[in-house]
Amino acid sequence: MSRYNSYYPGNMQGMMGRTPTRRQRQSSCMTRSEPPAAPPSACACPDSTSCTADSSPAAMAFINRQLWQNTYDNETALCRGTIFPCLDLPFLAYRGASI
Amino acid sequence: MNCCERDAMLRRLQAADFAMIDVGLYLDTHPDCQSGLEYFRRARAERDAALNAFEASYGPMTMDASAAEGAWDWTDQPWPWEMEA
Repeated sequence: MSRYNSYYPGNMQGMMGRTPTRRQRQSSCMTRSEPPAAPPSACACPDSTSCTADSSPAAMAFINRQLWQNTYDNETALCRGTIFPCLDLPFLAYRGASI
Repeated sequence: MNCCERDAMLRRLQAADFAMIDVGLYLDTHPDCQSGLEYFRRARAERDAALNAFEASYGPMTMDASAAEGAWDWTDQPWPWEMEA
């Protein structure tokens, strides 16, 4: 992750200052291993780890840090699939349909 | 057996159980959030109350709730596919 830190925009404080999760806190008990090396690239890029024009990652997922807000009552939460109204978002990417 | 009452109690249990599990997922990434911890305690109390009420009326929901005396009774309840629509 650290090799990509320079790519985080300044407003992504959620990723940078988050409390370590239980899994991360327990990581000292686990054997660390380096991520597997990228397979040999079939493309013509000279550097197989960066296939974009400006050497930035081709894709990077980001989840912002959630703040505690109001919650649904239990019955509504079960119907909506979340206790948090802020996560109750429309799902528009149906199969065969465009967003 | 009053099926409507049974279904209502089961629904209340499902909803309370879902709320507890969902806030648990939130707390996995926000372990120091006092609001989340308070919500979890309340959701757990609601879940426990709903579970106890259901089991008192209709028998054990899970194997460990069986008294294991006389008969192995936790499988006596209808299976999900045996529920009335």
